[in-house]
Amino acid sequence: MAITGCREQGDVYMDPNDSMNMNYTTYAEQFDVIWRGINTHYVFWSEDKTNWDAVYQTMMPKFRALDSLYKADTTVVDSAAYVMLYSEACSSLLDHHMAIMWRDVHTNKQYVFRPGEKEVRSRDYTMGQVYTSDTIISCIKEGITAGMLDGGRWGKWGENYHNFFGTATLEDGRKVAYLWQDGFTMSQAINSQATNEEEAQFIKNIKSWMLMCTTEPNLAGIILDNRNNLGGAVNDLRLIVSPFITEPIHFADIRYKEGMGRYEYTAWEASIVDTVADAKRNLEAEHIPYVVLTNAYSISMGETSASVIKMMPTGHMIGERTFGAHGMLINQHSLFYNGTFGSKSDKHYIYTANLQVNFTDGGILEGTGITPDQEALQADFGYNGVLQKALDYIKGYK
Amino acid sequence: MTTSKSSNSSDTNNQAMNIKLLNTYLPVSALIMCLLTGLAMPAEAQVRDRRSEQPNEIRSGRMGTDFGGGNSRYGRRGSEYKTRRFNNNLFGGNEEQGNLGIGLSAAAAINWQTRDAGYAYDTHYNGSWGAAAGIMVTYRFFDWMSLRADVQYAQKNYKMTRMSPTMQSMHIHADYTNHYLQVPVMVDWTFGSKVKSHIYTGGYGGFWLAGNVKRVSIVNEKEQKTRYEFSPEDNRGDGGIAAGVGVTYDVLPNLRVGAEAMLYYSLVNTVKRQPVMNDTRYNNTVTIGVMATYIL
Repeated sequence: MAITGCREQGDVYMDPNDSMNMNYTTYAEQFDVIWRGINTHYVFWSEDKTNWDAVYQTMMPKFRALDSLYKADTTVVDSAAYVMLYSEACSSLLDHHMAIMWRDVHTNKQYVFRPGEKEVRSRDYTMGQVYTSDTIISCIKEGITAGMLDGGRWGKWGENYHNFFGTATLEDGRKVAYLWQDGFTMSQAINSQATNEEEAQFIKNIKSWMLMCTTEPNLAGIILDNRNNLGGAVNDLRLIVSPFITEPIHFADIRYKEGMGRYEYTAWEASIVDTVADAKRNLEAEHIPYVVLTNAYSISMGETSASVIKMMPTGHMIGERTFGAHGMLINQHSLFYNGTFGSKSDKHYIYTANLQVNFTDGGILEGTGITPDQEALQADFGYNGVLQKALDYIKGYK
Repeated sequence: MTTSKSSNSSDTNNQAMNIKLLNTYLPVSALIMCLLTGLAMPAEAQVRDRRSEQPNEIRSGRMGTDFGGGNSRYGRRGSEYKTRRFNNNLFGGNEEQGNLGIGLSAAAAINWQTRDAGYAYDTHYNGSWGAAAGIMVTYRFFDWMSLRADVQYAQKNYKMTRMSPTMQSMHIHADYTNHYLQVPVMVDWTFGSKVKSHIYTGGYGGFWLAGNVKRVSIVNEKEQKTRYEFSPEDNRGDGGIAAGVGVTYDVLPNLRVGAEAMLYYSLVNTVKRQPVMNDTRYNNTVTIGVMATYIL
């Protein structure tokens, strides 16, 4: 017994996903649970320069002070000050998918802080703005009005997904296939039944674009507009890349955590976009450029797909450096024991990636984003100015 | 060095008389030498000074008779018994054997980690077999006590498995092979003569050299073998308590063989202490193997 006593006793790991561990009643207890949850669930410790232990040691006294303030006078806790504490604690975290949502332990008011969004707004070319889908939708409509794009219709899938399929005609009469979407749910949509006209149009837009890309004899180029694309299903790469390649593309390696330790990673494993048996079109052989447009709010699959298209023989990326949220999310806590934890309807919910991505072209770019082949800032050219850059590139492609 | 039988070719009567004289003179001479030097020297060193460098060469003794080198046995009336030669080793010890031994050991090693899987409810860490081998040096202070030090390569392996039905159907697991260099230093408490029993008590220090992992992961269900990547939180130093039991047999005067079982109970966490949340993982290693020692 004396001998076993020479070994240190480890701290007990508390499951932050367990509702039993959401019964805290003070600000300090809440921060403690959230801190410990991020400590074990966060997948970027190998890359993140944040001293997470120092964050605890610095911030815990501040949360205790908040508790003292509340105890003295139950009305004095300021919402802004409360948010500032989590901003101060979590601002430097690298994961650009991360959203920290919590409820005031006394009032139940919900707050959210996104470290990635804060960083992107601080970039010089975004000038503090948050780009919204409404803006780009308006601009595309203006582009149609201005004759940049022919016709086309808008589709909507569920509450969150929109797309637009249109064509552009070059001076020499050749066609350009254009698709804009604010998220990736193509595979799910085309394999589902539409429940209304907007969903039917959504599916039709995808199929029309794919048909044009693969069969139009007079095709000059393809534009996939990923600006303000907030991401979605990675397996949509089989629809937007696989039909056009003759060799598989090993675009990244991924890994996740398999234990409680911060650095308890699995090995890197290859992520590959395969060809399809009935590959529809050899873009390289036909000298057809494939242009992807991005901006600072091309997020997650919206930027990962751009990275893959860049690696295609005729791929070309135009626009702004993307958001920087590449970590993949598979929201199954019982499988991974890391990544997202908590509950939106309960006292805390932390949305975070559970797979690291290491791009074969560029390395680990979490928090940095994908850099375009051709920079065209929204602030300089506007939405339609950037689209014009794409059309000019296709026109001059040899 | 043990004595061995050799035949005495001289006349029986002369031999008997010389044995009587030797029984008197040799111990006295040795005692005088011990007192003069005042040093604790291995018995062999002193004996070797007076012994022929070529043990098989016959040399004349004090009384003109023949006696062999250190490998001779002398008995009254031609019978054999061990001559009790006085040695000047202050620590005593069996004068028929040297005190210094060098040897080799090889063993199978079973290791498991004492650690907490936390809230990964279906994650189990189990023991795993490996190998160990080393060079050892022993120094005998008494017949019943020696000091032993090894330089040893040891594997401290373990397995991680996921036990939920889904994970089991996917064969999700990770097998860790960890390569250590360690130096156990132990007191060898010895019992017996030709067949000896040993109890070892002491400690060890070591270093985690490298590791390999063979795993099947959730993302890619094919088995993959990779080198273990050390992290800033890994503690590569090791150390703890070493204890064991063994049995040896002297097959030759200079050669001892045996079997032993050792426990290496680590007191060093394989994870560096963190300021807020401390994760503890300790290795427990049992080796079961064989050894051979050449006694100088």
